[in-house]
Amino acid sequence: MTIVEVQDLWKRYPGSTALRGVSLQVPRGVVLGVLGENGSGKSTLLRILAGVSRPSRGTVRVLGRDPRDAAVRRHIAFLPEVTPYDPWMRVRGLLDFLQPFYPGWDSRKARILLEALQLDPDRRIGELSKGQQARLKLATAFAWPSDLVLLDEPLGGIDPPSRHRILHTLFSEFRYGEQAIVLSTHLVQEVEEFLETVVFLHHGEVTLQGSADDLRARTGKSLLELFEEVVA
Amino acid sequence: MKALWALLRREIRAHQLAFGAYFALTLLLDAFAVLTAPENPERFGLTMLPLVGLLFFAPLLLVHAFASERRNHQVYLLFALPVARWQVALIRVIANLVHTAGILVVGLGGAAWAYQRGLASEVQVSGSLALLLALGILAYLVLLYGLVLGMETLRSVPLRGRSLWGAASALLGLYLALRGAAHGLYRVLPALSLDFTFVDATGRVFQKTANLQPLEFAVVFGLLWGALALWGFHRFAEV
Repeated sequence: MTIVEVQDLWKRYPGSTALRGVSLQVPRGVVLGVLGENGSGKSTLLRILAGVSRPSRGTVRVLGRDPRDAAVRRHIAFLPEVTPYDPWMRVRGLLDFLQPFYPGWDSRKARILLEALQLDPDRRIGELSKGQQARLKLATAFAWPSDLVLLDEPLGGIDPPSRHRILHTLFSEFRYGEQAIVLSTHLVQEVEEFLETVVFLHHGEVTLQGSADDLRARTGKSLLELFEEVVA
Repeated sequence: MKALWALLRREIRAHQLAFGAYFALTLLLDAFAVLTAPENPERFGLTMLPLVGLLFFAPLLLVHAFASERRNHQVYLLFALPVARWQVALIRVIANLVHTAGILVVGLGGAAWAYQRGLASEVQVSGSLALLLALGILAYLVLLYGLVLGMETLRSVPLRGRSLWGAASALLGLYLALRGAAHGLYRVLPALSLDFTFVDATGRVFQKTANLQPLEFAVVFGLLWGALALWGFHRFAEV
Protein backbone atom coordinates (compact mmCIF):
# COMPACT_ATOMS: atom_id res chain seq x y z
CA MET A 1 0.00 0.00 0.00
CA THR A 2 1.24 3.49 -0.85
CA ILE A 3 1.39 5.81 2.14
CA VAL A 4 2.63 8.92 0.33
CA GLU A 5 1.96 9.90 -3.24
CA VAL A 6 3.31 13.16 -4.66
CA GLN A 7 2.77 14.29 -8.23
CA ASP A 8 4.26 17.32 -9.97
CA LEU A 9 4.67 19.23 -6.72
CA TRP A 10 5.68 22.87 -6.96
CA LYS A 11 6.20 25.30 -4.13
CA ARG A 12 6.80 28.96 -4.83
CA TYR A 13 7.61 31.63 -2.31
CA PRO A 14 7.75 35.33 -3.09
CA GLY A 15 10.92 35.66 -5.11
CA SER A 16 11.96 32.00 -5.13
CA THR A 17 10.84 28.51 -6.06
CA ALA A 18 11.57 25.82 -3.48
CA LEU A 19 10.21 22.75 -5.29
CA ARG A 20 9.97 22.18 -9.06
CA GLY A 21 7.78 19.33 -10.21
CA VAL A 22 8.68 16.78 -7.55
CA SER A 23 7.00 13.36 -7.89
CA LEU A 24 7.55 10.41 -5.58
CA GLN A 25 5.87 7.53 -3.82
CA VAL A 26 6.49 6.00 -0.40
CA PRO A 27 5.10 2.50 0.14
CA ARG A 28 4.22 1.24 3.62
CA GLY A 29 7.16 0.02 5.67
CA VAL A 30 9.84 1.76 3.60
CA VAL A 31 12.54 4.18 4.78
CA LEU A 32 12.97 6.94 2.20
CA GLY A 33 15.93 9.30 2.37
CA VAL A 34 15.49 12.79 0.94
CA LEU A 35 19.05 13.89 0.34
CA GLY A 36 20.24 17.29 -0.76
CA GLU A 37 22.38 20.24 0.21
CA ASN A 38 21.11 23.19 2.27
CA GLY A 39 18.35 25.02 0.43
CA SER A 40 17.56 22.16 -1.92
CA GLY A 41 13.91 22.00 -0.80
CA LYS A 42 14.05 19.06 1.63
CA SER A 43 12.39 20.85 4.53
CA THR A 44 9.75 22.39 2.28
CA LEU A 45 8.88 18.94 0.94
CA LEU A 46 8.52 17.50 4.43
CA ARG A 47 6.45 20.46 5.62
CA ILE A 48 4.04 19.91 2.75
CA LEU A 49 3.87 16.17 3.46
CA ALA A 50 3.11 17.02 7.11
CA GLY A 51 0.28 19.32 6.07
CA VAL A 52 1.73 22.44 7.67
CA SER A 53 2.47 24.08 4.30
CA ARG A 54 0.46 24.20 1.08
CA PRO A 55 1.65 23.22 -2.36
CA SER A 56 1.58 25.94 -5.02
CA ARG A 57 0.80 23.32 -7.65
CA GLY A 58 0.54 19.55 -7.88
CA THR A 59 -1.06 16.95 -5.66
CA VAL A 60 0.04 15.45 -2.36
CA ARG A 61 -1.75 12.50 -0.83
CA VAL A 62 -1.00 10.80 2.46
CA LEU A 63 -3.06 7.66 3.01
CA GLY A 64 -5.03 8.77 -0.04
CA ARG A 65 -6.04 12.13 1.41
CA ASP A 66 -4.83 15.71 1.64
CA PRO A 67 -2.47 15.97 4.64
CA ARG A 68 -3.94 19.39 5.46
CA ASP A 69 -6.98 17.47 6.65
CA ALA A 70 -6.68 17.22 10.45
CA ALA A 71 -7.89 13.61 10.44
CA VAL A 72 -4.93 12.60 8.24
CA ARG A 73 -2.45 14.32 10.54
CA ARG A 74 -3.55 11.91 13.26
CA HIS A 75 -1.48 9.34 11.35
CA ILE A 76 1.63 11.50 10.80
CA ALA A 77 4.51 12.06 13.20
CA PHE A 78 6.34 15.16 12.02
CA LEU A 79 9.67 16.34 13.39
CA PRO A 80 10.62 19.73 12.00
CA GLU A 81 14.22 20.82 11.87
CA VAL A 82 13.57 23.40 14.60
CA THR A 83 12.48 22.59 18.15
CA PRO A 84 8.76 23.39 18.24
CA TYR A 85 8.18 22.86 21.94
CA ASP A 86 7.50 25.37 24.70
CA PRO A 87 10.69 25.93 26.71
CA TRP A 88 8.72 26.23 29.96
CA MET A 89 7.28 22.73 29.62
CA ARG A 90 8.88 19.80 31.35
CA VAL A 91 9.71 16.75 29.28
CA ARG A 92 7.02 14.77 31.08
CA GLY A 93 4.54 17.62 30.57
CA LEU A 94 5.16 17.59 26.83
CA LEU A 95 4.37 13.88 26.63
CA ASP A 96 1.20 14.45 28.69
CA PHE A 97 0.23 17.30 26.36
CA LEU A 98 0.69 15.25 23.20
CA GLN A 99 -1.05 12.10 24.45
CA PRO A 100 -4.70 13.13 23.86
CA PHE A 101 -3.99 14.10 20.25
CA TYR A 102 -2.76 10.75 19.02
CA PRO A 103 -4.69 7.48 19.23
CA GLY A 104 -2.59 4.65 20.50
CA TRP A 105 -0.10 6.89 22.30
CA ASP A 106 1.88 4.51 24.49
CA SER A 107 2.88 6.22 27.74
CA ARG A 108 4.92 3.23 28.86
CA LYS A 109 6.84 3.17 25.62
CA ALA A 110 7.39 6.93 25.85
CA ARG A 111 8.99 6.47 29.28
CA ILE A 112 11.22 3.69 27.95
CA LEU A 113 12.19 5.89 25.01
CA LEU A 114 13.18 8.70 27.37
CA GLU A 115 15.41 6.27 29.24
CA ALA A 116 16.94 4.89 26.06
CA LEU A 117 17.66 8.41 24.84
CA GLN A 118 18.97 9.47 28.27
CA LEU A 119 16.42 12.20 28.88
CA ASP A 120 15.31 13.33 32.34
CA PRO A 121 11.48 13.64 32.34
CA ASP A 122 11.55 16.29 35.06
CA ARG A 123 13.75 18.78 33.23
CA ARG A 124 12.34 21.79 31.46
CA ILE A 125 12.72 21.72 27.68
CA GLY A 126 14.40 25.12 27.71
CA GLU A 127 17.15 23.68 29.93
CA LEU A 128 17.98 20.89 27.49
CA SER A 129 20.93 21.15 25.14
CA LYS A 130 20.33 21.23 21.40
CA GLY A 131 21.27 17.56 21.16
CA GLN A 132 18.92 16.61 23.98
CA GLN A 133 16.10 18.54 22.32
CA ALA A 134 16.78 16.60 19.12
CA ARG A 135 16.55 13.34 21.09
CA LEU A 136 13.29 14.51 22.67
CA LYS A 137 11.81 15.16 19.23
CA LEU A 138 12.76 11.61 18.22
CA ALA A 139 11.17 10.21 21.39
CA THR A 140 7.85 11.93 20.65
CA ALA A 141 7.89 10.57 17.08
CA PHE A 142 8.27 6.94 18.08
CA ALA A 143 5.98 6.91 21.12
CA TRP A 144 2.87 6.10 19.11
CA PRO A 145 1.99 3.93 16.12
CA SER A 146 1.80 6.52 13.33
CA ASP A 147 1.64 5.37 9.72
CA LEU A 148 4.16 7.93 8.53
CA VAL A 149 7.16 9.40 10.34
CA LEU A 150 8.67 12.55 8.82
CA LEU A 151 12.12 13.38 10.17
CA ASP A 152 13.62 16.67 9.00
CA GLU A 153 17.35 16.71 9.77
CA PRO A 154 16.81 14.53 12.86
CA LEU A 155 20.51 14.29 13.68
CA GLY A 156 21.15 18.04 13.89
CA GLY A 157 22.71 18.86 17.25
CA ILE A 158 23.37 15.25 18.19
CA ASP A 159 27.05 14.46 18.69
CA PRO A 160 28.55 12.43 15.81
CA PRO A 161 29.45 9.32 17.84
CA SER A 162 25.85 8.97 19.09
CA ARG A 163 24.09 9.55 15.78
CA HIS A 164 24.41 6.05 14.39
CA ARG A 165 23.62 4.39 17.71
CA ILE A 166 20.46 6.46 18.23
CA LEU A 167 19.10 5.82 14.75
CA HIS A 168 19.92 2.14 15.03
CA THR A 169 18.15 1.86 18.39
CA LEU A 170 15.07 3.72 17.18
CA PHE A 171 14.73 1.88 13.88
CA SER A 172 15.43 -1.58 15.26
CA GLU A 173 13.78 -1.45 18.68
CA PHE A 174 11.14 1.26 18.68
CA ARG A 175 9.80 1.45 15.15
CA TYR A 176 6.27 0.13 14.77
CA GLY A 177 6.29 -2.65 12.19
CA GLU A 178 4.95 -1.14 9.00
CA GLN A 179 5.67 2.53 9.58
CA ALA A 180 6.89 4.42 6.53
CA ILE A 181 9.72 6.79 7.37
CA VAL A 182 10.81 9.81 5.34
CA LEU A 183 14.12 11.18 6.52
CA SER A 184 15.68 14.32 5.10
CA THR A 185 19.31 15.09 5.73
CA HIS A 186 22.59 16.18 4.25
CA LEU A 187 24.49 13.88 6.66
CA VAL A 188 24.43 11.04 4.13
CA GLN A 189 27.20 8.95 5.66
CA GLU A 190 25.39 8.62 9.01
CA VAL A 191 22.08 7.47 7.52
CA GLU A 192 23.18 5.54 4.42
CA GLU A 193 22.75 2.07 5.88
CA PHE A 194 19.18 2.77 7.05
CA LEU A 195 17.82 4.01 3.72
CA GLU A 196 15.91 1.68 1.42
CA THR A 197 14.95 4.23 -1.22
CA VAL A 198 16.41 7.66 -1.88
CA VAL A 199 15.50 10.90 -3.60
CA PHE A 200 18.24 13.39 -4.41
CA LEU A 201 17.05 16.99 -4.50
CA HIS A 202 19.01 19.81 -6.10
CA HIS A 203 17.58 23.34 -6.32
CA GLY A 204 14.11 21.90 -5.77
CA GLU A 205 14.32 19.31 -8.53
CA VAL A 206 14.63 15.54 -8.24
CA THR A 207 17.93 14.66 -9.90
CA LEU A 208 18.06 10.99 -8.98
CA GLN A 209 15.73 8.57 -7.25
CA GLY A 210 15.24 4.88 -6.74
CA SER A 211 16.09 1.94 -4.53
CA ALA A 212 19.34 2.52 -2.62
CA ASP A 213 20.64 -0.95 -3.55
CA ASP A 214 19.77 -0.48 -7.24
CA LEU A 215 21.50 2.90 -7.36
CA ARG A 216 24.64 1.49 -5.75
CA ALA A 217 24.66 -1.53 -8.09
CA ARG A 218 23.91 0.54 -11.19
CA THR A 219 26.49 3.25 -10.57
CA GLY A 220 29.06 1.35 -8.51
CA LYS A 221 29.10 4.26 -6.07
CA SER A 222 27.97 4.79 -2.49
CA LEU A 223 25.11 7.16 -1.69
CA LEU A 224 27.64 9.59 -0.26
CA GLU A 225 29.57 9.64 -3.54
CA LEU A 226 26.35 10.11 -5.49
CA PHE A 227 25.37 12.92 -3.14
CA GLU A 228 28.70 14.66 -3.71
CA GLU A 229 28.19 14.37 -7.46
CA VAL A 230 24.72 15.85 -7.26
CA VAL A 231 25.88 18.77 -5.14
CA ALA A 232 28.88 19.38 -7.37
CA MET B 1 -12.61 17.23 23.23
CA LYS B 2 -9.77 16.16 25.52
CA ALA B 3 -7.33 17.34 22.88
CA LEU B 4 -8.98 20.77 22.61
CA TRP B 5 -9.00 21.10 26.37
CA ALA B 6 -5.28 20.26 26.43
CA LEU B 7 -4.73 22.90 23.78
CA LEU B 8 -6.65 25.53 25.76
CA ARG B 9 -4.73 24.78 28.96
CA ARG B 10 -1.49 25.08 27.04
CA GLU B 11 -2.56 28.40 25.50
CA ILE B 12 -3.45 29.87 28.87
CA ARG B 13 -0.21 28.66 30.40
CA ALA B 14 1.99 29.62 27.45
CA HIS B 15 1.09 33.28 27.56
CA GLN B 16 0.61 33.78 31.27
CA LEU B 17 3.88 35.67 31.59
CA ALA B 18 2.69 38.34 29.15
CA PHE B 19 -0.68 38.27 30.87
CA GLY B 20 1.07 38.80 34.21
CA ALA B 21 2.81 41.88 32.84
CA TYR B 22 -0.45 43.39 31.60
CA PHE B 23 -2.17 42.38 34.81
CA ALA B 24 0.48 44.31 36.76
CA LEU B 25 0.01 47.30 34.47
CA THR B 26 -3.72 47.20 35.10
CA LEU B 27 -3.06 47.24 38.84
CA LEU B 28 -0.79 50.24 38.35
CA LEU B 29 -3.50 52.03 36.40
CA ASP B 30 -5.94 51.22 39.18
CA ALA B 31 -3.54 52.61 41.76
CA PHE B 32 -3.05 55.74 39.66
CA ALA B 33 -6.80 56.22 39.38
CA VAL B 34 -7.34 55.74 43.10
CA LEU B 35 -4.52 58.07 44.07
CA THR B 36 -5.57 60.89 41.77
CA ALA B 37 -9.36 60.63 42.07
CA PRO B 38 -9.72 62.24 45.56
CA GLU B 39 -7.94 65.35 44.28
CA ASN B 40 -10.25 65.55 41.34
CA PRO B 41 -13.57 64.22 42.59
CA GLU B 42 -15.42 65.60 39.63
CA ARG B 43 -13.21 63.75 37.20
CA PHE B 44 -14.95 60.47 37.04
CA GLY B 45 -12.98 59.57 33.92
CA LEU B 46 -9.76 58.77 35.75
CA THR B 47 -11.21 55.71 37.37
CA MET B 48 -12.03 54.44 33.93
CA LEU B 49 -8.32 54.14 33.20
CA PRO B 50 -8.31 50.37 33.76
CA LEU B 51 -10.89 50.06 31.02
CA VAL B 52 -8.70 52.09 28.74
CA GLY B 53 -5.90 49.73 29.73
CA LEU B 54 -8.06 46.79 28.76
CA LEU B 55 -8.62 48.24 25.33
CA PHE B 56 -4.88 48.21 24.77
CA PHE B 57 -3.93 45.04 26.59
CA ALA B 58 -6.39 42.64 24.97
CA PRO B 59 -5.04 43.17 21.44
CA LEU B 60 -1.45 43.25 22.67
CA LEU B 61 -1.89 39.87 24.34
CA LEU B 62 -3.37 38.29 21.23
CA VAL B 63 -0.81 39.77 18.85
CA HIS B 64 1.94 38.72 21.26
CA ALA B 65 0.61 35.14 21.29
CA PHE B 66 0.69 34.84 17.50
CA ALA B 67 3.99 36.64 17.03
CA SER B 68 5.95 34.87 19.76
CA GLU B 69 4.92 31.40 18.60
CA ARG B 70 5.89 32.15 15.05
CA ARG B 71 9.25 33.49 16.21
CA ASN B 72 9.91 30.57 18.60
CA HIS B 73 8.67 27.88 16.18
CA GLN B 74 5.84 26.51 18.34
CA VAL B 75 3.65 27.20 15.33
CA TYR B 76 5.17 24.06 13.76
CA LEU B 77 3.80 21.98 16.61
CA LEU B 78 0.37 23.62 16.57
CA PHE B 79 -0.03 23.28 12.80
CA ALA B 80 1.15 19.66 12.82
CA LEU B 81 -1.30 18.60 15.54
CA PRO B 82 -4.36 16.73 14.28
CA VAL B 83 -6.62 19.68 15.01
CA ALA B 84 -8.26 21.94 12.43
CA ARG B 85 -6.45 25.22 12.03
CA TRP B 86 -9.56 27.27 12.74
CA GLN B 87 -9.81 25.46 16.07
CA VAL B 88 -6.23 26.45 16.91
CA ALA B 89 -7.06 30.11 16.20
CA LEU B 90 -10.39 30.00 18.01
CA ILE B 91 -8.86 28.40 21.10
CA ARG B 92 -6.25 31.14 21.12
CA VAL B 93 -9.03 33.72 21.10
CA ILE B 94 -10.82 31.91 23.95
CA ALA B 95 -7.58 31.80 25.97
CA ASN B 96 -7.19 35.52 25.32
CA LEU B 97 -10.76 36.08 26.53
CA VAL B 98 -9.92 34.25 29.75
CA HIS B 99 -6.90 36.49 30.29
CA THR B 100 -8.83 39.60 29.29
CA ALA B 101 -11.60 38.72 31.73
CA GLY B 102 -8.95 38.66 34.46
CA ILE B 103 -7.78 42.13 33.52
CA LEU B 104 -11.36 43.38 33.31
CA VAL B 105 -12.24 42.01 36.73
CA VAL B 106 -9.18 43.65 38.28
CA GLY B 107 -9.80 46.93 36.47
CA LEU B 108 -13.49 47.22 37.27
CA GLY B 109 -13.05 45.66 40.71
CA GLY B 110 -10.42 48.25 41.55
CA ALA B 111 -12.70 51.08 40.44
CA ALA B 112 -15.63 49.66 42.43
CA TRP B 113 -13.42 49.30 45.49
CA ALA B 114 -12.31 52.92 45.11
CA TYR B 115 -15.90 54.13 44.99
CA GLN B 116 -16.89 52.00 47.95
CA ARG B 117 -14.04 53.36 50.07
CA GLY B 118 -14.94 56.87 49.11
CA LEU B 119 -11.65 57.33 47.33
CA ALA B 120 -13.38 58.36 44.16
CA SER B 121 -16.48 60.34 43.40
CA GLU B 122 -19.79 58.65 43.84
CA VAL B 123 -21.41 57.70 40.64
CA GLN B 124 -24.90 56.45 40.07
CA VAL B 125 -24.76 54.17 37.17
CA SER B 126 -28.10 53.32 35.69
CA GLY B 127 -28.81 49.88 34.33
CA SER B 128 -28.85 51.16 30.79
CA LEU B 129 -25.41 52.75 31.18
CA ALA B 130 -24.01 49.47 32.47
CA LEU B 131 -25.62 47.69 29.53
CA LEU B 132 -24.18 50.22 27.14
CA LEU B 133 -20.76 49.76 28.69
CA ALA B 134 -21.00 45.98 28.44
CA LEU B 135 -22.14 46.22 24.84
CA GLY B 136 -19.29 48.59 24.09
CA ILE B 137 -16.72 46.18 25.54
CA LEU B 138 -18.27 43.26 23.67
CA ALA B 139 -18.31 45.18 20.40
CA TYR B 140 -14.73 46.25 20.89
CA LEU B 141 -13.52 42.73 21.62
CA VAL B 142 -15.43 41.18 18.71
CA LEU B 143 -14.07 43.81 16.33
CA LEU B 144 -10.60 43.45 17.73
CA TYR B 145 -10.44 39.66 17.50
CA GLY B 146 -11.66 39.85 13.93
CA LEU B 147 -9.00 42.39 13.00
CA VAL B 148 -6.13 40.56 14.71
CA LEU B 149 -7.13 37.25 13.14
CA GLY B 150 -7.32 38.97 9.76
CA MET B 151 -3.83 40.42 10.18
CA GLU B 152 -2.44 37.06 11.29
CA THR B 153 -4.02 35.34 8.31
CA LEU B 154 -2.40 37.79 5.92
CA ARG B 155 0.93 37.34 7.69
CA SER B 156 0.68 33.54 7.46
CA VAL B 157 0.22 33.47 3.72
CA PRO B 158 3.27 33.78 1.48
CA LEU B 159 1.76 36.48 -0.71
CA ARG B 160 3.14 36.66 -4.17
CA GLY B 161 5.29 39.77 -4.28
CA ARG B 162 4.19 40.50 -0.70
CA SER B 163 3.04 43.92 -1.76
CA LEU B 164 2.10 46.05 1.19
CA TRP B 165 -0.02 48.24 -1.04
CA GLY B 166 -1.77 45.22 -2.46
CA ALA B 167 -2.58 43.92 1.00
CA ALA B 168 -3.67 47.39 2.15
CA SER B 169 -5.94 47.77 -0.88
CA ALA B 170 -7.46 44.35 -0.28
CA LEU B 171 -8.07 45.22 3.37
CA LEU B 172 -9.65 48.54 2.48
CA GLY B 173 -11.86 46.91 -0.13
CA LEU B 174 -12.91 44.26 2.32
CA TYR B 175 -13.57 46.85 4.99
CA LEU B 176 -15.81 48.88 2.68
CA ALA B 177 -17.65 45.77 1.53
CA LEU B 178 -18.28 44.63 5.08
CA ARG B 179 -19.22 48.13 6.13
CA GLY B 180 -21.77 48.24 3.35
CA ALA B 181 -23.08 44.85 4.39
CA ALA B 182 -23.31 45.92 8.01
CA HIS B 183 -25.17 49.11 7.12
CA GLY B 184 -27.52 47.13 4.94
CA LEU B 185 -28.17 44.79 7.82
CA TYR B 186 -28.69 47.70 10.16
CA ARG B 187 -31.35 49.17 7.92
CA VAL B 188 -33.42 46.01 8.00
CA LEU B 189 -33.21 45.79 11.78
CA PRO B 190 -35.57 47.91 13.87
CA ALA B 191 -33.82 51.05 15.09
CA LEU B 192 -32.61 50.64 18.63
CA SER B 193 -31.80 53.24 21.19
CA LEU B 194 -30.92 53.20 24.86
CA ASP B 195 -31.47 55.94 27.36
CA PHE B 196 -29.08 56.31 30.22
CA THR B 197 -28.66 58.68 33.09
CA PHE B 198 -25.41 59.63 34.69
CA VAL B 199 -25.09 61.65 37.87
CA ASP B 200 -21.64 62.95 38.69
CA ALA B 201 -20.20 63.81 42.11
CA THR B 202 -21.45 67.39 42.02
CA GLY B 203 -24.99 66.25 41.43
CA ARG B 204 -25.17 67.19 37.80
CA VAL B 205 -27.42 64.89 35.87
CA PHE B 206 -26.65 63.87 32.35
CA GLN B 207 -29.27 62.23 30.25
CA LYS B 208 -28.52 60.81 26.93
CA THR B 209 -30.22 58.76 24.34
CA ALA B 210 -27.66 56.37 23.04
CA ASN B 211 -27.86 55.40 19.47
CA LEU B 212 -26.55 51.90 19.24
CA GLN B 213 -25.74 52.02 15.57
CA PRO B 214 -21.95 52.24 16.02
CA LEU B 215 -21.98 49.33 18.45
CA GLU B 216 -24.13 47.22 16.22
CA PHE B 217 -21.93 48.06 13.32
CA ALA B 218 -18.82 47.11 15.28
CA VAL B 219 -20.32 43.77 16.34
CA VAL B 220 -21.58 42.89 12.85
CA PHE B 221 -18.38 44.04 11.19
CA GLY B 222 -16.24 42.21 13.75
CA LEU B 223 -18.23 38.99 13.45
CA LEU B 224 -18.13 39.04 9.67
CA TRP B 225 -14.47 39.94 9.60
CA GLY B 226 -13.67 37.36 12.29
CA ALA B 227 -15.51 34.57 10.46
CA LEU B 228 -13.77 35.48 7.22
CA ALA B 229 -10.39 35.69 8.93
CA LEU B 230 -10.93 32.37 10.67
CA TRP B 231 -11.82 30.74 7.37
CA GLY B 232 -8.80 32.35 5.70
CA PHE B 233 -6.53 31.22 8.52
CA HIS B 234 -7.88 27.69 8.28
CA ARG B 235 -7.60 27.58 4.51
CA PHE B 236 -4.39 29.48 3.80
CA ALA B 237 -2.19 29.85 6.89
CA GLU B 238 1.04 27.88 6.75
CA VAL B 239 4.45 27.68 8.30
